[in-house]
Amino acid sequence: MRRSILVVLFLSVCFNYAWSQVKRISGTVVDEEGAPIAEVTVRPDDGLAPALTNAKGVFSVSITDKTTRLVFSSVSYVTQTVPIKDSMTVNIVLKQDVIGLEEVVAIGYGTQKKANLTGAVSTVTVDEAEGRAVTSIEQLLQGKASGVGIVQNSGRPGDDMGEIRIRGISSIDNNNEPLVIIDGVQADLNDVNPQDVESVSILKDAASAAIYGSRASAGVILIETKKGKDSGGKLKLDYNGTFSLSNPTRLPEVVNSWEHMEYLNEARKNVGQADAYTPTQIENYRRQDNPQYPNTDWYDVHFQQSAMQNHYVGLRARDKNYGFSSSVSYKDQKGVLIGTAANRISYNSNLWGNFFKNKVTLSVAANGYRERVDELMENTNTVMNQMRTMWPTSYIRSIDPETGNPNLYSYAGRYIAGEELGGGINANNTQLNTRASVEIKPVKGLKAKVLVANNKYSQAYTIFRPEFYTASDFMETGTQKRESFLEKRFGRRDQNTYLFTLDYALSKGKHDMNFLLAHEKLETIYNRDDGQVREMSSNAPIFNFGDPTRLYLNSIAHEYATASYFGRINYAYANKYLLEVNFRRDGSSRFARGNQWGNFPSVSAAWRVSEEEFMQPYDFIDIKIRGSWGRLGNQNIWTQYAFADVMSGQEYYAFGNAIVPGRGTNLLADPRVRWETTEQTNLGVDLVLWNRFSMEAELFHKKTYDILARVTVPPSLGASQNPYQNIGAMTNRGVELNLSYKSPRHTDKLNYALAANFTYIKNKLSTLGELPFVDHTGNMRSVVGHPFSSFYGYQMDRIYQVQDFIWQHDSDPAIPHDDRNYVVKNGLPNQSNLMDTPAPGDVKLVDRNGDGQITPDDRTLIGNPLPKFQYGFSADLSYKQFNLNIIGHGVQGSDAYMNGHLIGPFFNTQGTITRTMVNNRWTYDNPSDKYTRLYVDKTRDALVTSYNIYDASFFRLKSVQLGYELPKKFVQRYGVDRCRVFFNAENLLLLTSFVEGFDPERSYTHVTASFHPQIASYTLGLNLNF
Amino acid sequence: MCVGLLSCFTACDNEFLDRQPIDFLSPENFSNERDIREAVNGIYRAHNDLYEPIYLDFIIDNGYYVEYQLLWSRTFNNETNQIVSKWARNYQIILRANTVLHYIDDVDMPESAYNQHKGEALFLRSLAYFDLAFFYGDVPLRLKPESLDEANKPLTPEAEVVNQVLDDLETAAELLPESYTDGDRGRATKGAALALKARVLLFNHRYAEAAEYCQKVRELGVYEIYDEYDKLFLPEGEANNKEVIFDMQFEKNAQPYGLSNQWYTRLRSWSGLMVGYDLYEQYYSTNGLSINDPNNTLYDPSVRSTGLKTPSDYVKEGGYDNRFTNRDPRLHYTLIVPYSIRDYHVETGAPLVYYPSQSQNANFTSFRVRKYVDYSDNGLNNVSGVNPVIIRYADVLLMEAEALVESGAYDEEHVYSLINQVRERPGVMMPRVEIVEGRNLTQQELIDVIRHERRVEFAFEGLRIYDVMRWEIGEEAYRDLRGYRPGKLTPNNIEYELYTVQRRSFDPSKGYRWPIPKVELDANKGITQ
Repeated sequence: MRRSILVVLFLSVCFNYAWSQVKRISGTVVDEEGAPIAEVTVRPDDGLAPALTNAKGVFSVSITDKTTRLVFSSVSYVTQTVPIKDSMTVNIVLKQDVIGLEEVVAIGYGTQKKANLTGAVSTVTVDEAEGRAVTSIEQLLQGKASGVGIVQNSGRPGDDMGEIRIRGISSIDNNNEPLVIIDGVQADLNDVNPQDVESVSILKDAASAAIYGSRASAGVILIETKKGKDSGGKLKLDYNGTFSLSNPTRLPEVVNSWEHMEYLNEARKNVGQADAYTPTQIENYRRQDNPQYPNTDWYDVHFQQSAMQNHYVGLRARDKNYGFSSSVSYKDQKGVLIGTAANRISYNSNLWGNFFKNKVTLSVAANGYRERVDELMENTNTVMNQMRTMWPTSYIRSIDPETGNPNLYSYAGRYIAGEELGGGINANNTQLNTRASVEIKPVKGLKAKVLVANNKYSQAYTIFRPEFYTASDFMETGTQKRESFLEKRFGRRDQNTYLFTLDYALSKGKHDMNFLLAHEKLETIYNRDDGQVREMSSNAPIFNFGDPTRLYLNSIAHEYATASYFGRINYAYANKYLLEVNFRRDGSSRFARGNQWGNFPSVSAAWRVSEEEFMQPYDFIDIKIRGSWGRLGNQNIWTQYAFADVMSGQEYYAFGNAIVPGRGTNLLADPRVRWETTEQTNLGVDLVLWNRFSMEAELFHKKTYDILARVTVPPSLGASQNPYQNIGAMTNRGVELNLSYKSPRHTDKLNYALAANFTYIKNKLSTLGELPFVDHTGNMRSVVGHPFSSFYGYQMDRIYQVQDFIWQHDSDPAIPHDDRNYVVKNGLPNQSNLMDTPAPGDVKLVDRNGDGQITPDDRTLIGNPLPKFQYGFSADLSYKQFNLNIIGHGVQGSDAYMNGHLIGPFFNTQGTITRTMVNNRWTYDNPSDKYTRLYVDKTRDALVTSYNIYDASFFRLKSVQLGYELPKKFVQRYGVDRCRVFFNAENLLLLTSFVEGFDPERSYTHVTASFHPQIASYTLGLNLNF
Repeated sequence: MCVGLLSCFTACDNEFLDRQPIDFLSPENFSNERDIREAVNGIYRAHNDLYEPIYLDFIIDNGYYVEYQLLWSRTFNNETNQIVSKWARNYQIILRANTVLHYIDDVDMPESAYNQHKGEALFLRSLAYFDLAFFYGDVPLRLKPESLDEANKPLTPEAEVVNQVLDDLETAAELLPESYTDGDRGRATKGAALALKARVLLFNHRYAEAAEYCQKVRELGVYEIYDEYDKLFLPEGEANNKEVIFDMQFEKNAQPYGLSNQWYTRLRSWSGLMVGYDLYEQYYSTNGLSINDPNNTLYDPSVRSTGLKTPSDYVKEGGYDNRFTNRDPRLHYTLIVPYSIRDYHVETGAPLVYYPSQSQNANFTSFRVRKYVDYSDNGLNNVSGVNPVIIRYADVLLMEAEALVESGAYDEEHVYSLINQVRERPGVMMPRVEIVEGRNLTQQELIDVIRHERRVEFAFEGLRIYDVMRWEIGEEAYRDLRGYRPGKLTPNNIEYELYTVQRRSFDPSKGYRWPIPKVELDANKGITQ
């Protein structure tokens, strides 16, 4: 039956053309510099078979008298349409596609020519990756695309990934992390080596992302790894190597030990407390001639310059019918904080082949890594936090006066002790991602594909603290035993993907259509088992040596799954009017039956204005107008069983000195909980001028409703944790702009590419159901009508000065300051409910309700951490053998609430102070109107005021790279195709008015100063291609 | 083929999406006695708290710790940590107790087990509601496990809550056994229910009934005064202790289970937990007279002229100086005074002396806490097994004495005998009341004797704040913190300079009650204020 249809089709085609006269037309194709171009497709516009140019750029193609035009197209050249006149020869010059409109970019479950995109998709080139000593993909993407905000977690090895927010925050306390798809399978950005990345597409609007339905509300990042370029089967070998040195970007400068003592006395006196140190004691420290009276800079002790090396070897070959690409890379990185390090071997392998006359394509791939990450014996955030409480008056180690033990560490020196005695945390992470797919093309235009993938991740995490003695707890001298401790955690995660797609492309006349139908299933199974022992008989991380009476075991396990059906229709008329419709239906195991399924439709359209006849005179303009609307879901919450009450089985108790099991309800679930939904409308314009200048502008409105949040339930219900409920809605409105200018490539001239991007986002919480606001941890509150998660506290008016007070004997000026009993003058607000005896040099708070008292009711929103404006730029200049690449990015209008040790003076009575604080502090001689006096007082520490709101705006020169490519003639003598040496500096420059000693680049929700600094690195490297 | 594959996928969807919790449980699945027993254990666990009730002594006149400054200086509001956590903790106990009481009837089990578990749940729930009503007044009354649909709950008047507590304790006392075998030591008993009922009655000024319930506890014949005051608060005294009626169970070295008591190792190693001079001066000389009494010839405030001697006997002798000798032994069992032993070296076992003037010292009163500090664990951090006492027999005796005197109908001899049982504990042996104070005291004089006895007997057991609140003696209790200036207590030049460490005053308009936490008011729309 089918055969007879084909026969009829064939006959009808022959019959059709039999009426036309077939003739041949030939010519040559050259580029702008006159060099012939091979492999250019030459296609007659009436559906006849296309031809290719040969190595000399010569082609010959059959046409009929119905043929009016020839279309010349080739990757990296601008497609050109040439009308056929009488001549039988056509010689043309093809222009370089400088802007890349002809490039094919990855979209959800497929690809699309950039020119035909209807949604807001940012494509990011990462060509400069081979010359940067980056350790994560986030670092490569930083500053590259509008609408994509990235901050790096920290500069610690193993924690140098970033926090990515596509078009702002849309959810309250769920995952705002975008979905990451690597080669078609859900994965983690960390899974792939930056140097294996071929291309990155970021799907920002709902229409582009809707095909991922319930997982895509925070946007999607699509990564394609290198598959190898057609080399005619010839083997290609790449080697990249770097060596780097790194330093922390910013560290606080702490006062000397004797200064610490003096200022502590001053701070105590300021709040009516007795001296902590006598002048003799201070003098002992000032003399610095006795190790008993030290002056320790704990940042000097804990930080160092560190080194990193990175090697990458890639092997690729590709022919028409098969291809493979394999790479291995090795990274060895020491941290700037002692005891921290990471080393990693990663590999990536892709293999594909065509069979049965190209009707079947088989593809198998595996990638993975093995990584070891080291930290000091407590996690780095804790170490950073504790370091801020270490006093310069503590020694690192001393002699125990009781026993003569020469290695008695101080409490502050405990991390040094742990490090010296072999303790530490290390994580051994192994990841293996395997996938296989079969694609069958039974008839022209139809593709059926089955993909099966498994992502296996395992982590062996060990915490080992050796036994040692410390001289003091943080408040007192005296010897304390630090008993040895070993914990091991074994976590395994299996993620299975099953995907079935049917793809049908249909082209008839000016109509191009594409249909996609698919079914996908995903499941994740997680298990973790922990064991702990203490009091080890031998100083080795082996359970057997632990005290057998003190074992502890714990297991964590969960599973979740999604099942989906989805489809897409693309329609293009004359390459001019483009339409795309998506529909996806997702089911999630996280919700109860009945609430599991959600529907996610989207539609987008584009008009390529420059394809219209009336635009023909202006052929230097390429313009496209796009519009889209779509709905996305979010079920990516921090629990796998949102519908279930949680009764913990770990509520142990002890009767008669024996531990017995117990249970207790910790969480009451809302069984009605369902999807969170995001609706997004996008308007975009793409403009290209003279094939050099391009602009992409986007206007978007993103509304999230049924937001899943763990809103506080009355504590009187008796559950200690808050359940997820669907509550409220928020909007993000924004403008994005990408600009770029590229010069055409000339071998002997200066070539340059400049790009800049800007993002402006305005966030507003539109409703929270019945609630006027929700509170979050870290003094943050989200109020309806205001941006999400603002800092909430007292507004500072100014600093209290002496003239605001009265004192004894009708404010007798002869009374020394220290003897005055200051009382705030009448008419000024009374804030003694919040702080003991306010005095000159304290913050003066705003009495918002004007009742004369400062009470908690006077609090208000005092700052917002969400950046208002973000921008980035890059410049790529090359001249002959030299190449310079610069990347910068900045954040504007982000507030940070910084309080705690080294921010507040002698915070919590444990901290010390910084040089900045000392130099600026309020005193009677220096009545500052910006800075407070020193104090040591918990009531003042506990006040959340705008005094501690800092402007976290910054501009950072992210990367500067200078490369030199050795002359080809020279290197080819040694069998090398290309050899390049380069120098690269990362985080070279930071402009900010943030708190001295602390880096403003941090997660927006980080409100503490216990934060590992970013690092600045300097790298020398080599690229070799064979 | 493709369609066939697709329909197969569809058919499996429901099964594929059915994922049930793996590492936690659900009360709907209770099926046997073991389930109920474990759920009961979970109530005790919720009641176990690292800070309750001891920290309460650091917010009034016994001590000071910077962590509780807002409560101490009464600058707290309805968001202050401890005010929020006491509320939440009690309701967690209540939810767990309600869960047991709700599901226990669905499960088959022997009658004795049924009675015991129901009694335990009622007792623990009463403990929580009593505490809530005492500190917050009117509170939401939830008597069954309630879901989010019942989040909005109005306040129930305090009197109703108290009546519920009294009824439940009556039922609990009928259901609970008088004692347990060793393996169940620590569970609620009939005596605990009766003693708690006596406390609830007394604290609500129902004196005659309170005395009656104290008598019921005595008549059980289960309890008696423990000989050694110090061991009463240490793990070594746990097994044969007939004085403790109900306490929280902590285990040494059970930190990963959350069952080691870190609070008491803090008392031991953190000098910032200060004791006020106010409490110190309450400890009489062994003649039963106050150190401020001009007739007290035994008290000698002089400083010894020679240098320090080896500290081995200081605990018993009472420190370096004469002022610390011949004092009520409970002084040294409860406080660390200057130049007495504060710890032992972890390797050598050598005693370490408390020098208040030491550098990095955060103690500004020169007094620390010794009660509950367990020195037997070799200096390890955070692994103490010390059990905080909730109610003990000495309390029952003093409560009965107080209730009788307050009721106005009392026999002085009987009241004296109750107080003397506490004073004549073999490890304390303070002179009998009648020997010091004489006979035929006025009602007020007797009350003063009892109140003083409570203060020194129960210091750092968390009872002082209840007493201050029910006696309404804020002006007396919320005074400045005083202490000996540590800078004057150097080994070479010792001077006991009494000074004010931190000022505070009592504003009666603020009342004694704690405010209902803001987090409750924000989320519970049933409460209208």
